[in-house]
Amino acid sequence: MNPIIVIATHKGGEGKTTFSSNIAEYYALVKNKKVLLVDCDQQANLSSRYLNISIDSTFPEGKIPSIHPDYDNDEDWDGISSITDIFFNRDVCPYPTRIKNLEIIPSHSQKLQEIEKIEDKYVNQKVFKTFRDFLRLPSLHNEYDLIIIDTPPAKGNITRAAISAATHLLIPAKMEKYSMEGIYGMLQLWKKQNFNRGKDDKLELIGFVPNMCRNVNLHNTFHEMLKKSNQSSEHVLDVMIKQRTIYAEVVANESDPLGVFELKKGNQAREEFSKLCEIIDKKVFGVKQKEVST
Amino acid sequence: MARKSFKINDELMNGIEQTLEVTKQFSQDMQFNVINIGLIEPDPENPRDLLISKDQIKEYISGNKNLPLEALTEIEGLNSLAESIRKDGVINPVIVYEHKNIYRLVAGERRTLASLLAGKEQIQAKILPNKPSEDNLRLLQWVENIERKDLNIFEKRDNLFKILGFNSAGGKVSIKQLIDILGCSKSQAAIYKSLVEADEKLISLCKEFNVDSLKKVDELSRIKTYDDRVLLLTGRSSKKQNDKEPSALVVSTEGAGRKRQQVNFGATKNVSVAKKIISILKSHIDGGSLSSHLEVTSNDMNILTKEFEKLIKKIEKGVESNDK
Repeated sequence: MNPIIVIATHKGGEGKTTFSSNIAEYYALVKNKKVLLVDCDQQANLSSRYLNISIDSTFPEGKIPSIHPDYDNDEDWDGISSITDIFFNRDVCPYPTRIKNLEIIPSHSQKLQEIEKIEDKYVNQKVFKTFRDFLRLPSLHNEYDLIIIDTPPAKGNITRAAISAATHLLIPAKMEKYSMEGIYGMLQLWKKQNFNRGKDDKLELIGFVPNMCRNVNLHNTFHEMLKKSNQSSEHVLDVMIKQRTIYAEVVANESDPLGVFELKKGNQAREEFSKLCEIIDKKVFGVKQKEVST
Repeated sequence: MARKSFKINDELMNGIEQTLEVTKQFSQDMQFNVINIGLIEPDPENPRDLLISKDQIKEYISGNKNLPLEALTEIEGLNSLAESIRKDGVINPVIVYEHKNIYRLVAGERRTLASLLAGKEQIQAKILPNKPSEDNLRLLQWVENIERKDLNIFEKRDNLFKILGFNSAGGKVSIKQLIDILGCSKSQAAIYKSLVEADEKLISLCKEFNVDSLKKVDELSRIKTYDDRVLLLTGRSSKKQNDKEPSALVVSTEGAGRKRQQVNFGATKNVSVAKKIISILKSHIDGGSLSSHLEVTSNDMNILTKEFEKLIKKIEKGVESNDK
């Protein structure tokens, strides 16, 4: 089975979506791997980067994916697909993106919200199991080398489902107080997972990634504290992703270039993110790399 | 301007550290989850099998009460557990190990069957990755079974023998060994030690009198003679005697505490009883010298006490002169 990386923290604005897309594009463009992105966030930011996302006319606060390119007015299908299809007995059809190796299963705001509302413990278990069973389908792993899941800033059913499906967990965090609490919260979910999982199926913690860092005492001190602590030192990744406008700029429509790994080599943002991805790569795929044939 | 200083709040930092450490240390070999009862099957090598199967229980709850007598009796025995599971669920997860595509039961057969009886489809389980070693298997089953009322003391003793590696002849074990192996308290270990080291005589006595508590076995093991043991078990002497006279003697026992320095002869608030005892004693002691005091007339407790003490001293003197 191939790696399933979940990017999670219940704190908002830490960089989950940015990391999801950048790491996915690293593997698709630089490593030439086939990547599947899964957008579980009602905000649908990740989906809107690659697809035309429209406002849901029946649910004004929400977004729905665009019509699938493979839709040919088939009567049995309404032409859209999202990750929530797995809960409603519909087929899932990943969407292609402008990047050849990268496909995405987008979000559907209203249906995701319905799933989040479920409180029944028995049904919760079913939600987690359905999610996990789907993401571990052999057919999916035949098609893609890597699956990356973007999660909402919450600790609800969807985040938990994603965590129960994943093989690896990455926690982006600002080096500030509330973000530390986000790390702590995620670690509880991680711990619980591992006490429920079999020996060969543990959820690996890739680590905490210091994000949006500036060269200020606050950020440096927090980073140092994590690096010095007994246990945390093993899990805080040895790279600081700096606060750079470019990360936001490449997301804007019609920006040029369209992504971090389309910036010129040597560009500071590209370099630092490459460094991050190389560290992640070692941890997820191991030091020995399979030679990818083009 | 002075440098601002910051740090991550101690409690939070500790919390993060601890979570990482605990997960690293314990989650490797630990797996708790909820599993389908349908996927659980008994371990073919478990020494205890209930006289009913999962299928029979399913039959029963679907309305077919036409089952063999042993099965129906078992169901009756499981009913109260099933009721509590209906209300509160299973308190202690059962223990299973993965075997091909199903789970084999290490401990928790009653809980599993009672859950089924209660209409549950799933049960909480601790899932071991492989079948535990022989030693661990016995130990796990011991820990599970020790509190069970339906395992008798002889079965518990057998299980202990197996855990300790004794054959049917048994052997000696130290309290420290028991604490190390079973993880129990010192006082519990003392009780188990008595059970393990109980000799054949004690075991057959227990069988004869249907002794069913470990504590009783422990008490009995400290009593040296058969007669005194029977006395403890029945409150009566083993010799044929006037059953209407219960003994007022306290049996001397070798306790675990500080050794007694003397024998106490009990006490009574009933003056007539005291007088009777004193008269009986007097009439049995080599006549003559005491005959003048045969009659005890006083009703005063102090005087009666002193009379008794005098008697004891006289007997002591008599015993001493006999011994010489």
